[in-house]
Amino acid sequence: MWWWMLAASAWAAPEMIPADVFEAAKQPDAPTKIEFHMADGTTQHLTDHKGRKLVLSFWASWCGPCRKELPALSAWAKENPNVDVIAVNVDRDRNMADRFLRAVPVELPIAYDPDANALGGYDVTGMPTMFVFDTKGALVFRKVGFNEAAGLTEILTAVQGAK
Amino acid sequence: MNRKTAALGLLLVLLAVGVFAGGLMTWHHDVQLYGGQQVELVGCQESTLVSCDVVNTSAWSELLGVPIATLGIPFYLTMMALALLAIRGRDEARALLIAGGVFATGYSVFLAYISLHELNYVCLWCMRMYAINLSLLLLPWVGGRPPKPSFDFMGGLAGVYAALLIVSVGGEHAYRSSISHSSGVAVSSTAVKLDRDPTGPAPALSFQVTTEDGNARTLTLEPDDAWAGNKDAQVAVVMFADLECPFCKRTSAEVGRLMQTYGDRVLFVFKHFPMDPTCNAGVKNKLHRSACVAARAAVCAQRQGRFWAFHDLAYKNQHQLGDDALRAYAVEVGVNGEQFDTCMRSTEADAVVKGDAAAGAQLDIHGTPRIFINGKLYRSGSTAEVMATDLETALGASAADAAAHAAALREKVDSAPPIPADVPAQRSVKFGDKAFQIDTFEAAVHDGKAVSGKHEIPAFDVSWAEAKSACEASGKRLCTEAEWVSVCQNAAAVDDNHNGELADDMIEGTAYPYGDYHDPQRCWDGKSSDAFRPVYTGEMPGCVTPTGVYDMTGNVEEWVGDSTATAVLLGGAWDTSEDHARCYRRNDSFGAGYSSVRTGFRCCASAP
Repeated sequence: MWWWMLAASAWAAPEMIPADVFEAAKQPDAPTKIEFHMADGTTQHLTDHKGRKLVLSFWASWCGPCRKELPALSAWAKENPNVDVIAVNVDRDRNMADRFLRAVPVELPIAYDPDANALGGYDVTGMPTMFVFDTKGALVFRKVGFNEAAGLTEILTAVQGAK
Repeated sequence: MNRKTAALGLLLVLLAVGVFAGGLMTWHHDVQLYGGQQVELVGCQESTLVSCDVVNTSAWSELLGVPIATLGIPFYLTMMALALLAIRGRDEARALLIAGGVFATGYSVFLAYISLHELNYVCLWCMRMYAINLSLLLLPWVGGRPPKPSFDFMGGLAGVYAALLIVSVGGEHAYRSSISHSSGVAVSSTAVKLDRDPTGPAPALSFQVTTEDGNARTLTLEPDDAWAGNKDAQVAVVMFADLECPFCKRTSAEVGRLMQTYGDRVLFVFKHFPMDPTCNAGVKNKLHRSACVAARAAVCAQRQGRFWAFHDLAYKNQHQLGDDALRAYAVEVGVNGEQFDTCMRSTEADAVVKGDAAAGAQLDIHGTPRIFINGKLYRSGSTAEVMATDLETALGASAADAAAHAAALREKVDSAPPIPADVPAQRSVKFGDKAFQIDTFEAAVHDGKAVSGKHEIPAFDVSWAEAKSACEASGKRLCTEAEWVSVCQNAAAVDDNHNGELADDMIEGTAYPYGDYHDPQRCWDGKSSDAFRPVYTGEMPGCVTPTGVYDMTGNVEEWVGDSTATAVLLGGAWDTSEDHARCYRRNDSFGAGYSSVRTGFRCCASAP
């Protein structure tokens, strides 16, 4: 009998960590912990935007879809002045970000996060990643990737649905 | 000044710009591709349509290994000489200017088409050169139809062009060598098998084949085929493969398992089928940039009896198949470098590769790998067990015996010793002159302290700083990149090109903790579906280094580095593809503050 038990244990699938532990780690950090270092040298916190809807777009120079997403978001921001939009760059080398910005037309407030401190709190795994916060600072929508055909329709819907 | 002189003067200036553009583009091409640096090209601002980086480093940016920008320099200089002669009254020079313009404009149209339709980007400096080429075609017509040039004149011009071409190509080659990122690929390993190939030509055998298009064809072995195993066998495994193709790498591991078991009874043959039309008329698209040169290098290694050792090392180092790297691998397996260079310069190796590729095309091969066992076709994903069943049958085994023997092959590979209950939490290791300790398992965190042990939840969603402080709270430190890679590959890691990274260097040890070829049973990797999560530590007993360290690849990525500048994630996670979840997997996309469900760590400590 014992060899059957041995065989069964040998064939048993490796035990994954509990799903609730894993899913809990995906929740973003408390918004107050996160700050952004803006291109003009100032520092902003998420709480600075309370009372207004906020779109955060994380991007990197090595991200191909960001070349399409940021100009589209830039145009969208112009049409939606009641929403704050910040483009957060996560390149480790700021020169790479600046080079990207010289090539791609972006008229958005730019924040730099070279040490990924802001990025770290959000469990972001790919670029671009966009978040929508409501007027109370609660995260109401997140999206990874950018589909040129779909454009920003999902973001628009999320912003319209946010309180 | 008459109109003709003015037009020629303008052309002279434009051609001078062409020389400058050729030099600039050559510099950009070489630095980007061979210098390992990102440089910004003035006058070519990148946008969604424009990218000199993409165009000037594409497969089309070189002709016979020479940047086409470099080839433009002697051409424009020769045209300048002609324009000067025409200004001084040698009217026949205008005819040759026009001829040059026809050639250059035609080539420009071809390149512009490639740029727009194949690469989807345009390069502004390339477009300036196209405009210069067009002006070369048009401006010499000012002043009427030129007289036909004499043969003496054309001969002299050809001599000038040849001399300038030699100087330009030589200069570019010298510059490339001086900056070459991989020129420092050093002979730093003794882990490679130095076995010689069997001597003599491949045996003359033919097999009837039903191709994947359903056609009946004949597969014939050639005397210069790379072979191993039993020369007198009537059963043969013939693999058509590309050294740059990841599926071929995996399948070569399966064929390697067959060779170990059946090498005494079966003949094994390797034929080249590079996925690049440059050396393979049977394919349309250039999928693998280095496939042709790697195939030629393998033929040249074979000329010195080192095909199989080179084959193994090239597949192991598939992440780097540049010219210099290939030469280093050849030398590493015992090939004489000078003879190798001579072979690579000759047309002999190219002819062998093209012959193999033509044979593959005749068998309706459209992709790689393709394996024929006594004529029966297998594709990518065919395991040794599956192929062994047919091998056994071909060798005369009954159906029941064939199935049993094939199953035994699987059993032998799958078995991994269980992790002992008293496994130590750290291992003491020494690579080169560096002795240190490393956690046996990925770290868990209890009360802020890093813990190494079996059946723990490995820490994840940790930043580099959090990992560092957890290690320090338990009296340890984070591993350095060199320490981590040394343990994973079980050999001292060498930064061959001294750029502070190890991922772009030759692998000194094994590609994975357990060997050179990926084994899906070993580590928790390649699980990209949402249904998967990391596993508890010690759940994968086969994912172990020879020094007894578990889970270095897959499960969670591991932070290493002694500062934020050197903080990187190594080894890949549970959802990293099998080709990338290896010892040389290096994720430096984000800074040290980054954390996600993929990011974990393990600690090291100095030797007691």
